[in-house]
Amino acid sequence: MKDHRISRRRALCLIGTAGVAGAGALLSRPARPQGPGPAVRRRVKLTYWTWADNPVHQKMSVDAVEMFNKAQGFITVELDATAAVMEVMKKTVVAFAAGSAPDVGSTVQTHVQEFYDNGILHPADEFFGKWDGRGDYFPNVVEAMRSKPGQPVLYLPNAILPYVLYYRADWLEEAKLKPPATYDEFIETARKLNKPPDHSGYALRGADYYGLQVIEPIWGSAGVKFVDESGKVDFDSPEAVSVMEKWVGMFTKDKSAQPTAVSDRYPQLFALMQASKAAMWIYGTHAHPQLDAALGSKIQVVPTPRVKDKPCMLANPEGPMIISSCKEKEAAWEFLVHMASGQPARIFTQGRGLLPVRKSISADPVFEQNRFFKVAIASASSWWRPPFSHKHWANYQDKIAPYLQQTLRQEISVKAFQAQAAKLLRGEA
Amino acid sequence: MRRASLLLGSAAILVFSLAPFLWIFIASITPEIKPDLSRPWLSVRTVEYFPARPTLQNYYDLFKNVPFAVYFRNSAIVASGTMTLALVVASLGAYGFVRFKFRGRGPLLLTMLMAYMIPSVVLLVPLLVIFRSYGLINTYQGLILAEATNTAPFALLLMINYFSTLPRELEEAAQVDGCGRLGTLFRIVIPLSIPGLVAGGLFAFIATWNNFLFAFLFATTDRVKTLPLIMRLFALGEPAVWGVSAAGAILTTLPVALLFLLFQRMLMSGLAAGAVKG
Amino acid sequence: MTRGHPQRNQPAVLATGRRFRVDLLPYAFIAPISLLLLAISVYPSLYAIRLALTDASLLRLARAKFIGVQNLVRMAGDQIFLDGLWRTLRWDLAVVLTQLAIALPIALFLNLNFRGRGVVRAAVVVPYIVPPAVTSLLWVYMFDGNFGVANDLMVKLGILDQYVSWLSDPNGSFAVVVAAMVWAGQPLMAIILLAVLQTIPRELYEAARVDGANLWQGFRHITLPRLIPTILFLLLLRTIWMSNHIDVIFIMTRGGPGFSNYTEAVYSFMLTNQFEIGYSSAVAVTLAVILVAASALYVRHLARTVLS
Repeated sequence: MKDHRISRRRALCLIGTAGVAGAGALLSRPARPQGPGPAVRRRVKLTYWTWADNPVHQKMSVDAVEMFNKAQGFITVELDATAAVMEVMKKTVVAFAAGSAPDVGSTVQTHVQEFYDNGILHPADEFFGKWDGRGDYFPNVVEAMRSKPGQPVLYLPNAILPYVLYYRADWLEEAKLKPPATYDEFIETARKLNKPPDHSGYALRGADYYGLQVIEPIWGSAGVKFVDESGKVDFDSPEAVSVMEKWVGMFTKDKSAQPTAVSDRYPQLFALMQASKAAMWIYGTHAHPQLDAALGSKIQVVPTPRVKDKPCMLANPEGPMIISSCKEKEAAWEFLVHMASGQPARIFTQGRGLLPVRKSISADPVFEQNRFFKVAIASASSWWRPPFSHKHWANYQDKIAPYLQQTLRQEISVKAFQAQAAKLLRGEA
Repeated sequence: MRRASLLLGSAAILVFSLAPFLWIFIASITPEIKPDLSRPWLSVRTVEYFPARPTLQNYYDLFKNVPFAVYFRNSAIVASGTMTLALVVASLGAYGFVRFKFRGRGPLLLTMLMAYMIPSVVLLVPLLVIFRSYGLINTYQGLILAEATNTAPFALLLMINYFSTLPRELEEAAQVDGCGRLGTLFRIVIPLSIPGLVAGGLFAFIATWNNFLFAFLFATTDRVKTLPLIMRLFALGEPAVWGVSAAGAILTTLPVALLFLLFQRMLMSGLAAGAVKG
Repeated sequence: MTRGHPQRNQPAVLATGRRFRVDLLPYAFIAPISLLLLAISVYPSLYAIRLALTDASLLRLARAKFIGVQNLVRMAGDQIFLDGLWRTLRWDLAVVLTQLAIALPIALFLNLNFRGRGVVRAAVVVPYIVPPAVTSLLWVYMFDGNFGVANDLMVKLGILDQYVSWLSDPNGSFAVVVAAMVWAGQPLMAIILLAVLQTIPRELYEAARVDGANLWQGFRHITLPRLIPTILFLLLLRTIWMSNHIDVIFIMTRGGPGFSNYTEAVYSFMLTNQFEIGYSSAVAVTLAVILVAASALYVRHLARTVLS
């Protein structure tokens, strides 16, 4: 009798347990519709810092992060995107030093080596190597992702920003000129299109380092190596000086650059182009949506000018990176993949005016149809970067701006400028 | 003659103080569609430069694109918090300095004044490291404490000056009546010092409301970010969002202006006593 | 002065021994602010002094080496630092004196009785309330070399022949930044001066007028003596604040063109931005020491008069 009762009770218990277990299994499935689920199946919170060039760009980051958070119920990303790229970079370093760095940061190619050398960045290589999307990346981009040959893949860019030469096609036509291809043609065109006081030949940036960044590919095409692996600096060579003399000459001698160049940054330069006060401007493709909206077919692009036969086109990848203090690196990698795929990748390329780094995304016809993208893609073989990975590059980049202004104001000679830049690249200043 | 020169003087002061600000206001109600930077806007000649179709769209967009309400709330919390903290510690401290003679009084006051002279930039990294170890990053408490470095010493100076103008007789009478020191402070001195407190409080509030540096480094999540950080992004952005930025600027300035208007009279008398001793 | 009479210091809290209680009470009052400033001002300053003796970089904080006075040696040979001393002084004097020159007449004007005085008074404060970031932007766009309102006005009024690129020129940019800072800062001076002016009884002026004194004499003998302590107080306070000021200068010019707007505080900030916090702390601490030394006499006088 006893055995029966116990065994019935036990049977009931077993059924009950099975029922509970079954119900639990049913109920534990997340309520939201799922795509291919993430590998991480715990509640994880990540902080992500990136920059915003303007409120439109900020909204892109907000939307992309929201997409990620909604698409899966485990990882929540908290976004901070309220400052410009250099400020975010500085803030990341400061926060890391104080132990309060985010989990995922954002970087441009320029700073990747510095982050890696100082232990701030955790190489994405361990995940990238196992990822089936890795073959989709253009080989030269993967090279950039290593920063130096032989290093692991450091970060996962989702876009690449090429620099092009914007010009006023209507003014060129009026003056019966062709768009310039060589550097000398470029200087000459600026001179010819210059109609003071209201129309400058070229919108020159003199207020900060980015004014030099657009000259670097021209130096590159002149054969200047800046600094090579052994530390030998040729930035003060006669070729380098000659390029700079012509550039500065646009402002000081030809007067074909706008008179306010010394203190002009992006807002001022853009305003000049938009108000039809400048004929040419070297800048990234991300300015084309607004320029196109303002000037329509009057604004066209060609590759940046070259000195010798082979042009160099500045093209910098950019994208998220995993910070070494992040405690949930798998979750961080999931987020990186999300930002580099599908809709987010389209937002940050098409939407922003940058080129994709993945073959599948660049197959989209919009990149061939858009005249700005087309020019940039056509010169893909001359995409180039200065030696960002050299240990003294950041030193030069951080400190050189005031000297540029002094050179434009003719307070120091071009030779002295190149010498100072060379000193910075040698780490002597 | 007197009437005319009064009018002229008033007009001059109004133009000087308000003209640039009026320009921002006009920018904020100008439609964003076609920013026309070739035509500078000027408030005085409103006939020519006033937008043909003023709009409130920019204010709309401001709340849509940016969590403005959240930032506003955060600014309000942090500013009030700093104000309260500064006033409380400064009043207690000032009373101690003024009404007591104790060992180390002079040197202590001097040390505080000297610490006040250190530029904020020096304190940034040390504060960051300290706050990190106490978990104060991205908290209201952290921001309030950081802002107090600027506001507490000034409040202290103000209250010291203010208390020293109050006659001792009132307090002595209260004490003869059996009131303790603390009681005297709360029941006699503080009520008499409301103007001074208003002055100190208002300055602390404004300084904190507008402070950018500490907010930038110590507040990295939207939960605690304050208003000046919105200004920063717009300051770097393109001219195409000038109208929305202007709207943000107006809304950031308005609350403090209202506070000032409300407490004007008390502020005046508070400052009078607080600065007379010099 | 009055000494603490025993029956005056009746404690309100629990007693242990009377003498003990009496001695502890003042410390109870000054404890909160002392602790606060110790934690957030004094201790970080000591940390900063320690940083100043190292070659610390924000990128490699853990690998900072103690280098003693090497930073001082470097400063002695650093042209930017040496010029910065002069630039800081020039900035201080230009801003503070101009603010005073504008604030005093405004205060005197607002002291007069007229209808609508409250409105004008409220308007005067507006520049002070506007956030510094907005002020900086405002003045940058007003003086823009291609589209600026100020340029437009000055050309129309015949002061200028053509638009000037203010921010491209060392003196021009200095003028614009000073103008912005003066505009933003003079309300503080104006209302403090006004507050003091309002404590001067009108009867004094009446009496003086009856005695045959004119406006200027009234000002010189009645107003000025009462203003002088406050003016000195304001001068000291503003000079300290301006010496340490970074925001407006940085946002408007980033220190440029060239190094022409690198005051010591701005230089220290730039160095921090370049992650050299050892050297940056050295520059900042030196600035603080100079400020303390320069104001030592006045501060001691202040402490004495206040605590008397």
